[in-house]
Amino acid sequence: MPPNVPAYLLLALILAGTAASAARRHSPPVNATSAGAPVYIWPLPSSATSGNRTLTVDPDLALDPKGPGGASPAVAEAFQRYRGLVFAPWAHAARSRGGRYDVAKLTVVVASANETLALGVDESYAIYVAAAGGVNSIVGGATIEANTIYGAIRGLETFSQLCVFNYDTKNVEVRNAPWHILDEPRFPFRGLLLDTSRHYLPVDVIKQVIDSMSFAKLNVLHWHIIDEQSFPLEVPSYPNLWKGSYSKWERYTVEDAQDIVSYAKKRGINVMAEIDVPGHAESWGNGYPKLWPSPNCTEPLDVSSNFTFEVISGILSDMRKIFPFGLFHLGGDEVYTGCWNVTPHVKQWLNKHNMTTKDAYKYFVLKAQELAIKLNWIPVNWEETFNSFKENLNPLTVVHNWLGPGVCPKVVEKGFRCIMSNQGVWYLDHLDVPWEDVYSGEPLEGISNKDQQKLVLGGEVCMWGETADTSDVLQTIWPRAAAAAERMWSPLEAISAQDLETTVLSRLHYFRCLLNHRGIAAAPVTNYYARRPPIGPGSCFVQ
Amino acid sequence: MPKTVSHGTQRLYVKKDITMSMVGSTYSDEKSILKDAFQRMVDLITLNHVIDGINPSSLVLTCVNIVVHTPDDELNFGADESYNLTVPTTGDPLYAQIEAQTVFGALHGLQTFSQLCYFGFTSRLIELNSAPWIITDAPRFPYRGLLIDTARHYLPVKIIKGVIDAMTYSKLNVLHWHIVDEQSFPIEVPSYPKLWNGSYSYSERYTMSDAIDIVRYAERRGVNVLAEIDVPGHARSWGIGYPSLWPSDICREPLDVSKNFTFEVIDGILSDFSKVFKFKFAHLGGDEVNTSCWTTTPHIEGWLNNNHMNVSDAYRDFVLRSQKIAISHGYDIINWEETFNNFGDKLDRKTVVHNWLGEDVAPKVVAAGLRCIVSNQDKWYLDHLDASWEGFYMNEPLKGINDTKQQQLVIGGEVCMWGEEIDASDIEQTIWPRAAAAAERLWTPTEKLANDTRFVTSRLARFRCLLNQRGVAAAPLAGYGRSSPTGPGPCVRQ
Repeated sequence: MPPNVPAYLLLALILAGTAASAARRHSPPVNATSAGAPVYIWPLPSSATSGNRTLTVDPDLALDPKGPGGASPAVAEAFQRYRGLVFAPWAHAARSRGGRYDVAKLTVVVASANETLALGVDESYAIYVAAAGGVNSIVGGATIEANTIYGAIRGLETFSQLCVFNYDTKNVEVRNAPWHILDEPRFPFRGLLLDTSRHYLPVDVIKQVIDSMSFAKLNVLHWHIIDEQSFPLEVPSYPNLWKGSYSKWERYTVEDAQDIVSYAKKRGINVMAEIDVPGHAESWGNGYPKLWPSPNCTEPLDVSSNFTFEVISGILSDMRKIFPFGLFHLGGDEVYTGCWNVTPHVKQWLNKHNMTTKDAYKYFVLKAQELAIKLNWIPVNWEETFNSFKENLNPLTVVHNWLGPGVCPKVVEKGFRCIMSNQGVWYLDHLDVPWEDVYSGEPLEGISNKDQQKLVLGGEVCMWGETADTSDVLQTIWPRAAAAAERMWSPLEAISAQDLETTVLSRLHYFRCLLNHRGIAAAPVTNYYARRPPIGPGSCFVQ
Repeated sequence: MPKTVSHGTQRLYVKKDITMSMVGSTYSDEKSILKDAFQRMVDLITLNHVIDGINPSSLVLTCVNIVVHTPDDELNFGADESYNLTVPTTGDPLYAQIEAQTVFGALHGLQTFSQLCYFGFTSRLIELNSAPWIITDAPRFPYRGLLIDTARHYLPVKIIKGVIDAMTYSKLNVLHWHIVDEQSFPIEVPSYPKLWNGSYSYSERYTMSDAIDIVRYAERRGVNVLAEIDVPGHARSWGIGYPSLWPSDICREPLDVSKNFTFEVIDGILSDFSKVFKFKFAHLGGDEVNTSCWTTTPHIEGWLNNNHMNVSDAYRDFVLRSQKIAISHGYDIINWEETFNNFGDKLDRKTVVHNWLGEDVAPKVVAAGLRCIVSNQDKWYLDHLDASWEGFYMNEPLKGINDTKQQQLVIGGEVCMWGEEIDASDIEQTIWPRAAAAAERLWTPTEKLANDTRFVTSRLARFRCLLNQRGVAAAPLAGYGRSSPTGPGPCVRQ
């Protein structure tokens, strides 16, 4: 507990804590208010108790920062953002003069001033909202308590979802108060993949995606920057790589990438960069044709040439200055080694080293892993690397599942860490996967051993870009990504306790409308195929 | 495409913190319309890139001087939107100049300037190619509209503002807000507060403050907001709050023509609207009126008989009475073409007839001496996904009108984004890039328009990529409206 928290707050928290533990004894469903209505917070918090009072919130709501981290500019900035989301632009002018509001300030207590964002950072928080003079409260107002600024940012998101506009009084209100919420994520890695190689996504669009991720408490943007189609990122060490961009406008400078990373960090989101070697790298050779086995056989990268690994090393060193996240994705999927066999100088090299193409694939991946580890990165690789040579993978490796179900159990059994992205449920480019199926994706499926469960870092929904560009990326991601976000954030018991077609559906409708309200082009929930237009006129809450 | 353009071959660089001056203006910019627009323009050309290349010692634009000749900052129909833009290659300091009669002309000048500039990934500077530029420009039509429909699906305020932003990029200047229809009544009407009960849900609503916010947002960008109530045919949702507006509980449309209360409500709505929507025109709809409820509801049937009217007479009287109410609140009227087709000679002479059914209507309207807006559905209805951008581009509002006086009665045209299958998730990509094709038709002088759309493709593809860069979800050119890209590829080739 931070030393400078005033006594009244401590008391409030103790009381609240008592209420919460009492609540746990009676185990009320976390997905319902005291009146039995669904809790319209997405994703569901770990525990929440509510009452039956309605509190008004001052349009000039003030931030009351407490604790060593409370005064962090990141907290103040996040507070401003959320105030802008909760109140209309005219709210301040419409404020009743001398009017009394139940909630006039939001106290944010942050125990640590450390702004480092890393895998496993403490994202827990508690919220307490009550009226002055209420039976259960010492003091009126709203309080968010967190150990880190990132927990506080999650709490602000939840608080913003508690605030609703009253169209009769024109006030923003918190209904069903007093609220006491204790919350933390189930998994430390809750990812979304964006692919800027199949289609370039402008920086502004990536920022919209990051905003929307923070609304659903996702915390890792997996940036699949480069693939065989295009190489949009600037690499100062090898400046010709940029020639592989689609056009001279469809590019990111180093500073653009840094801008994206810092924008994401302010929202508690890590950026995990990927270079997908050796299989998905044809575009590299536009600037350096020597990276191709030959001009007419251009993939995978030439395993026989030192230059290949010099370039990888150069890219990684440059990227290390951009991407502080501890994990780096090295791809390693879908490697068709035909070119290695048919290109004489590569074939010769294989023979000389007594390697099959399979050996060479392993050699390539392991060598790339070493380069990443040398830069203090934990390597992440697609599951083919594990499937092909699990016994040789560096023990640090995080294996990224995609091909199908049942992979993470094998991965964790071997002691590796795992990220679940089973394409049957969590590939967003599969338009025929309805939200219910996305919601059913369970990262711990088939893993009962507690220690092995801990090796599952979480999961990731993947927005591959073959048919997704600026015009349709957001509505292909949302609302389905939200279904996975709840799966990864909320306690399993709470998820299982809800009825899919009533409670969850109405909550997801609500969240989709919230995304729309915030300007995010989330598609209708109940269309069978993703990103389809609404089938006819109607309310957002039923489509 | 501007009216006249001449340019050279010199590349200039735009200083990162380029400034604006107003030397020679009689306009004071008290409301900061120009200053804010300039800042937005700088943000658009910078696009958050770090601009840190070394400026050469010359050929650097340091300033845009904007000369506005009139002090007025009220946006009015027919406001002078012309501007001249010059970007010289000599001078110390080197500055571009925009000259306009009104601040709203100057806003268009800034939009054009923004399209000359782009970030150079090699120089790490903002570049401006092909200087010197001398551009003189003015719109062909004073009315260049886009309809949005918030009754079939509610559109959040943020989404509407996004649409307005994108409109300014292609110099459209009227947002036709089809606010209410039979499905829902999202807007607050203080005089008749229960009308709001007709909203889809408690929160799919606009307060009066929201509407003011939208109008103000649009006006500061040179975009007028045209409000519509579509009477008597498209108004079923009104009766949720006031059931006596329906002929009966089982026959709910059109509005009850026999009751004074109906017209009191219309008067209340338009009175409230007149405080918010300051555009010269109000749109009163009047299309698709199926009058069968009037003849099958006994009290209306009786009223018709007492007044010796058939349903056509009643339809006419309803429209004309509504027109009078709107005029009493200071509005000029726009009505859909059915009103003209049925009783064109009775319409108030100031009526603007809004075409939609087919393409041969405008000639008849202007021959009758009334003004016209063209929106023939086969070419300019954005909800027709099979209407191609080529069709949008080639649709000529003056087709079949040779008399110059009659031509002047065509005040412009409008592309219509009807909302049956449009919500916050797909509105932008259904509007763009096709609306941009119509925008050029409405802005650019005839002699500068392409006769063959093959000469337009690469320019429109570029403009679509520009919209994408600016965060607008404009769809690929290829395929039907709002089609997804069919495979990987560069933006300009899709």
